[in-house]
Amino acid sequence: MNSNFMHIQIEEKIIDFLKKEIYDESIHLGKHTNLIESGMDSFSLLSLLMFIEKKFNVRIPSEEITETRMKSVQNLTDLINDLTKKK
Amino acid sequence: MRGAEYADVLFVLQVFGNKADAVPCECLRKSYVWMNVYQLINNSAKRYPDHMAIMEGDVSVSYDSLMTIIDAIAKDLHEFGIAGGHRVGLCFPNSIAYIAITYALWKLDAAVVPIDTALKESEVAQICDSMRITSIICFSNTAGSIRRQCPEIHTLFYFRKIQHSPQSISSNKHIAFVRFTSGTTGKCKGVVLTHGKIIQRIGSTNKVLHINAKDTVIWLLSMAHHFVSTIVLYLSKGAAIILANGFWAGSILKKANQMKATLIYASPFHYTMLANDQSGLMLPDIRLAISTTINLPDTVYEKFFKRYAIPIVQAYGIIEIGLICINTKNHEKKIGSVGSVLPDYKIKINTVEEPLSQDRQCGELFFSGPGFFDAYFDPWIDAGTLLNDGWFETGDIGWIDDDGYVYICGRKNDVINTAGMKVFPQEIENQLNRHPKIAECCVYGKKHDRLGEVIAVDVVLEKAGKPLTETEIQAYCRQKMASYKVPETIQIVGQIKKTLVTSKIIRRKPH
Repeated sequence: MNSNFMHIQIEEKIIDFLKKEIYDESIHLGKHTNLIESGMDSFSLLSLLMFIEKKFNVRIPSEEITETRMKSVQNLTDLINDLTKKK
Repeated sequence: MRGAEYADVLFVLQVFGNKADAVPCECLRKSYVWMNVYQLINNSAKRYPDHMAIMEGDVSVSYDSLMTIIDAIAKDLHEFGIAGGHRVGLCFPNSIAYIAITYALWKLDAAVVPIDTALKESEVAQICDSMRITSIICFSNTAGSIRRQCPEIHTLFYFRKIQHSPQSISSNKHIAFVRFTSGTTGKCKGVVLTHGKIIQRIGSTNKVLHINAKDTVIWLLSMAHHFVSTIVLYLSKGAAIILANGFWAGSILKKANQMKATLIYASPFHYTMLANDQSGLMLPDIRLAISTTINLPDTVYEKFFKRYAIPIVQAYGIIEIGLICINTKNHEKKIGSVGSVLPDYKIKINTVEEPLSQDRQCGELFFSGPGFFDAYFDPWIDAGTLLNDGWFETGDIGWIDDDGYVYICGRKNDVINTAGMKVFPQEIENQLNRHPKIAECCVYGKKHDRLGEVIAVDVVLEKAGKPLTETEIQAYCRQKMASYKVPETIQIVGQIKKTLVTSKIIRRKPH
């Protein structure tokens, strides 16, 4: 239950960032929304990576910056959890 | 063209080596002096009408179709009152329409002022004011805009007049481009490029790149920041440009294979993602993979080479002088170098007056050669008065090895290079200092392995009233400036270090 709650918290923080900094606030953004097809450019992706690293105190290796890992908020959350466990 | 056909002028240029004064025939000399970049693409269309010019997603246009689109847009813009001498802001995403609108404006002898779509309203207003822009073309509807649609590709664009008549700056210059950059005072200054200089510049670049009608280029960078030595060159030679649909390795690889791409023009970040791709897809037709914007890390070069057996070619360029060094040879032995200077140019290092390092005779790099900028726009300063005997002071520190290969060490002055975007600290400081609760601040760059540098700021708050938090300062920045200018790190400090004599802010060096 506790880990589910943390999972939800991470998702909410990422969605909040995406809506404020990357996308228009009016856009519906859920945890399954395909970020690849939503028009994110490379600089926005860099901003997102920096936010995640700073907010969740993780370091994302370059080999993890793939379409699969970055595809959705849920996938990003899974990545953060995987990186946190490795620490 | 006045007095001569384009092919005649090309012949003249080859014979007389780009020296207008040497041309004996008055009409050809006039034609040489006034050559419009539009004529280059028009010539490509005459030679290769059915060749694909640009692909955007699943939509592609031939050179013939592209000219139809350009000419239709030019007709519309002419009816709106755009004419020679006008400066028109173009705030548009990468697209076939972006390119077509640019050439349409050039056909009308108007100057294009690219405006990054990431900029906030106040920043756009500042550019419009500084560049004395007469009208603006955007991708989104704003009050007072007239909507039009490009033929064939059906892209919408919105035209809005800002001033009723252009304020003439210099009547004898056919200005094609004004690319703004922040000055040392934080105020916008525009780098002015005339048609003639652009044509000289791409001629010199192509002596090394050999772009031709058999080339297909995968394009990944922002056209607001990269256009002259790239897009214009490719289209002047009949090459095809694929506007990458997304920047992910998978989609780039699929497109490159589908279209048999021969060139990639991208940043180290794109090459990092390509290097990490595990699909097994290769790049069998690529003859040149060019990297620019920031320094290419050696690890990225090695990983990409291991994955694709293709060396990444570093290129070094500045908007004022063009792509001046490209490492097309010996890249495996000269990893880290931006190459030797292009054949039409000369380089020198200023190690006599200001030796900046005892190691490898590092010094400030100076270049001379054709195609340099014509002037800074605001205030108007002719380049001739700035170039010392034709030499351009880059502000970059570097060294040259015994084989003439150039290595860039860093910047002499304070400009921060974040993911290829050049940001002057003073611009951000000016904005922050407008906040009523900020007494003063100091912006500087911090090294970052993905972005090259990120922006950091030390802030001194006014004593009175409730103190600002870092979060509030960042929110203020996000409201006032483009996202790439927002400081990544904000620190509230008691004081800013300054020099004793001049009280000039002492900036921290990137660490």
